[in-house]
Amino acid sequence: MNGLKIKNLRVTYDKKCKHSYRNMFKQSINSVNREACSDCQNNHECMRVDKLDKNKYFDNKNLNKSVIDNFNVDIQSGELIVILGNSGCGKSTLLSAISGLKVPEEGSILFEDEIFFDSNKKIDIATEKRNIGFCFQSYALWPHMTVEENIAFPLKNRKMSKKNINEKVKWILEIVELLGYEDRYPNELSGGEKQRVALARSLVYDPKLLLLDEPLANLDAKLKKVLVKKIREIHDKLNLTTIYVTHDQNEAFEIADRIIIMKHGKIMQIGNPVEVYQNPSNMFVSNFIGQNNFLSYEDMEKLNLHDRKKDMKNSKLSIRPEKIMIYKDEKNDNSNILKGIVSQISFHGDYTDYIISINNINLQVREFASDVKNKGDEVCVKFT
Amino acid sequence: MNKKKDNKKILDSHPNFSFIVKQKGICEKRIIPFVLFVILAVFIVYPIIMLLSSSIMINGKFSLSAYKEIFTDRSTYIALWNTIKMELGILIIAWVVGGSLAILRHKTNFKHKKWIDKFVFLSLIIPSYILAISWIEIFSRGGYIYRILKMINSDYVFDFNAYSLIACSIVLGLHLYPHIYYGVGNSLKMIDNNLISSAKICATEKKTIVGKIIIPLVLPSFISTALLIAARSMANFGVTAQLALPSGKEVLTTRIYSAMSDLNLSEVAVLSIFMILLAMILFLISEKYINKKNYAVDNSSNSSDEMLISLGRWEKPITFFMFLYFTITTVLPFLVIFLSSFFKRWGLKLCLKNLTLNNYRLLFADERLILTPLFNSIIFGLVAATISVILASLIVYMYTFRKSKLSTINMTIAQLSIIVPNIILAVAALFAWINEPIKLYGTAAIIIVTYSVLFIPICIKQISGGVKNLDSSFDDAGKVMGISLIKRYIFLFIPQIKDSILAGFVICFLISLKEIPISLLLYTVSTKTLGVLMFTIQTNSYGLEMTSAVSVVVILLSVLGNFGLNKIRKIKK
Repeated sequence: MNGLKIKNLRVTYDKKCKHSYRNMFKQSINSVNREACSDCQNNHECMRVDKLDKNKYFDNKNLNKSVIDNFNVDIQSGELIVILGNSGCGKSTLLSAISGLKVPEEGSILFEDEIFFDSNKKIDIATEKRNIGFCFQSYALWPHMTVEENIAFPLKNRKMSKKNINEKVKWILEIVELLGYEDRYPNELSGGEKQRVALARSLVYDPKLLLLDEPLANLDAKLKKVLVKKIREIHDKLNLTTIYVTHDQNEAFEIADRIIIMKHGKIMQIGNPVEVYQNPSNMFVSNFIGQNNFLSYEDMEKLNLHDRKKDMKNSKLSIRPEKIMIYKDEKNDNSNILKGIVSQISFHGDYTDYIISINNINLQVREFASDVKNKGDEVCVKFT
Repeated sequence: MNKKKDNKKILDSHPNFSFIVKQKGICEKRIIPFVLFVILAVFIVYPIIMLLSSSIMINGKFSLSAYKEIFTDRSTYIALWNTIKMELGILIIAWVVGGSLAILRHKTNFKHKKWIDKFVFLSLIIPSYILAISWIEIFSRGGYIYRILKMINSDYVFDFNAYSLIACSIVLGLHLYPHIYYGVGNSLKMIDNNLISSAKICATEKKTIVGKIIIPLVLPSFISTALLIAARSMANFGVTAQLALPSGKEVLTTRIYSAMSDLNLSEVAVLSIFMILLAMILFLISEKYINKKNYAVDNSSNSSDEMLISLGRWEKPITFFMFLYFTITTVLPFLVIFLSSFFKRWGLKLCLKNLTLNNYRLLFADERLILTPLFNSIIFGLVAATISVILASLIVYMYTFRKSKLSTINMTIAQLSIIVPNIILAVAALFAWINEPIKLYGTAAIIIVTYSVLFIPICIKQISGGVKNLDSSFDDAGKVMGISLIKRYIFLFIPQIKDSILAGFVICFLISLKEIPISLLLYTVSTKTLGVLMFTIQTNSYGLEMTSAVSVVVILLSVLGNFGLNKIRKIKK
C-alpha cells in the first residue's frame, strides 16, 4: 500500500521567513560563502557571494528562491523515514508543507491516494482536514491545560463521547508511560515528560501520518537515547507512517528505516542507514555523515598508494577514520602500509581519535584499542 | 474512502476551477479578517473620512476656502503658539521633576526609593482635571491660600491669577511627569555598570563617558517620552478648558470646542485635521527616533554591584525636599478636594460649622445627579471595554498567527486612533453619526462606539505584550489536530492571554470613568457620564464643593480600579 508520495515539490521562502536570504546575509555572510560553495559537487544551485552588491544580489527575484526544490520521494506505509540535514536545509519547511502549514509553490503531495496538495489540480486541503499528527520541537503544549486536557482536547473537538475520550487518554498515557501525570500542568513536567505528552497528544486521535520536527532537540544526550528507543517502539506498535526530522546523525541512524539527506532543499541521498554510511552518493553525504578523510589524486601520489587509478584524477578518495588501522611496526608484505607521526590525540573513552601526519598530509584515524599512543609517536597505518 | 470520493467528485465537476475552497479553516481565515476590516472601516476610517470631507467640501462642492479662512486668521496662530508655549512649560517641568526623581531612584543610594515609586504612582492615577480643580481651589480668588491669608490679615489684597497658560503647564506637567520618570528610569536601569567600567579601563575621561556613553543611551527614551507628553498635552481638553479659557487664552483643543459651540462646523473640521496632522508628525518622529536609536543593551551580566552615587550629607535635605514636594503636589490636592467636598458652600470660612455631609447626601439622593452618570459611565465603560478586548484580541490573533495582507491592514487601521486626540475622535463621530445612513447621535451607542475606537489600540498594546511570551507553534499544533480557527482562538489563544486581556479591560474601564471630551461632545440628557458631570456641575447652580464631591467619588473609583489592576499585573508576573 502506498504511503506518502511527494512529486516535484517546490516551496519558496516567505519574504519575512527567518531563513530568508536577506537574514542569512545579515547573520554571517562569510560562513554562507564558505560552507555553501566548498562542498558543491554536483551542478546544483548554490549560494555564491562573490561581489558583495547587496542590492543587486538580494532583489525580489532572489528572495523568492526555493527552500525546497524539485523534491520527489515515495514513502511506504508504516515506514519511519528520517530527514537529516543542517539547519536551514528545508527539513522543517518540508514538514510544514506536508502538514499544510505552508503552501508550496508547485508540486503534489499525496497520502494513500488522497490528494493533500496539487498545484496543477488547484487542490489544497486545509491543515485541519489532513488528519496528521505533528510533534513540534518546542512541544507546543498548551500551558493553561493539564496533561489530560492537552491530550483530550483534539478528541473533544472530534465530538467523541466522554467515556471514549477517557479510554483513549488512558490508552495513550499507558503507551508513553505517563499514567498518573494526568492532572499536572506542562510547567510541572520535565523536558522528557513534556516531549512524551506532546507525542501522546499527536497520536491520540489516530492520525494516519506522524510528523516529528526535531522532537528531541531540547533534551540531554542520555534522555535522547531513551526516548529515541521509545519513539521507535511506539512506531512499531502502531505501525504509523512517520517522518522524523533531525540534524543529529546518531538519532537518525538509531531510529530510521530509511534516511533522506537534504542540502539546500534538495535530496542528496535516500537509503537505509547502512547504505548511506557505507556508500555515500556524493561528497556532501560522505562529509556530512560521520568523519572522513578526503584524498585527492595528488595526495594519493604523495602517500604512494598503490591502488590509485588514472580515472580518479578528477575525484577524491574518501576513507572513514575507522577504516584505517594503526600498527606499531611496519609490515613489509603489505603495500598499503604507511609511516607517520601522531600529531593530535583526542580521547573519547571507548575510542581514541588521532591525527597522523604522513608526508605533510593529515589523516584522521579512529582506534578502539585501550592503549593510547602519545603525541610524536611514530606509527604505521594501513587502509583496510 | 468517502473523502477520496469527495475529492474526485469535486475535481470532476470543476475541471477549470481556479481554487477549490472546501475547507472550513480556509473560509474562516478569509472571512474573519474581512468582517474585522468592515467593522474597522465603518467605525474608524469612515468618521475620519467624513471629517476630512467636511473640511474640503462646502455645500457639496470641493473647496479649500475653510482652510484658507482658518490659516489666514490670526487667532489660529495665537492658539497654536499658546499650545506650543504651554507644551514647552509642561516639558520643562516634567523633565526636571521626572528626570531628577528617576536619577534619585536609580542612580543614588537614596533610602526612601519605595516612597518615590508610591507617590509617582499616585500622581499618575489622579485625573488631570481633578488636579486642575484642586489648583483652582487652592490658588483662585476665594481659594484656600486667599482665605488663610485673609484670616491672618483682613486687609490683604489678592492679586494672583490662577487662570493662565502657566497654570495649565504646571498642572499638566505635574500630571504627566511620571511618563518621564518611568521612561528615563527604564533606560537608566539598562545602563550596565560594565559599560562604564569598560570605558574607565580604556582610560576614558569622566566627561567623555557621560557625553559618549550615558547620554546617548538615555537620550532616546528622554526624547520619545517627551514626544509622548507633547502629544498628550496637546490633546488635553479638561485642564485647558478649566484653567486657560477663563483667562481668555485659547489653545487648539479649546478652540475646537468653542467652534463646536458656535456650530462653526467647517472650522471644527479644519482644526481637527490640522491637529491630527500635528499629532501624526509627533508620532512619526517618535517612531522613527525609537526605531533608529533604541539600543538593545545586553543586561544579562550578573556582575558588578551597582555603582550608586552616594548622597552623603545631602541625604537629609533631599529627603526633606522630596517629601515636601510630594506633599504639595500629590497629598495636598487630595486633601483640598476632600475638604472642599464637605463645605456647605464654596468660599465660606474655614471652620467646623461650615462643613457638612449634605453634599454627598444630595449627590446620592437625587438620582439624576450622580447615580445616572455613574451608572452610564460604568455601563459605557464595560460595554466599550468588552467590545474593544474582543476586537483587539481577534485582530492581534489574526495578525500574529494567521498573517495575511488584510490582517496587517486591520492591525494598522485599528491603531490609527492612537494619534487622534480624544476631542477629535468625538468630533469625527459627530460628523459621521449625526445623519443617515447610520444615525447614532443622541443614543448611548455613539459614546460606546467612540470609546471603543479609543480603547482598541490600548487593548492591542496590552495583548501584543502578552502574545510575545507565547510559544509560536501552539496555534499550529491546534491546527494540525483539526481544531478550527474559532475554537483555537477561544480555547487556546484567549486562556493564554487572559491576564493581558483583563489588564486592558480594566485600563479602558478606568479611562471611561474620568474621560471628558468624548462624552462632553456626544452626550444627551439621558447619556450623561461622570466626566460630563464633573465638567458641568459647577455651572448648574452648584459650586466647587459639589465638583469636589464628585471628584472624591471618581478618585475613589480610580484608586480601587488601579489597586485591582496592580493585582492583575502581579499575577501576570
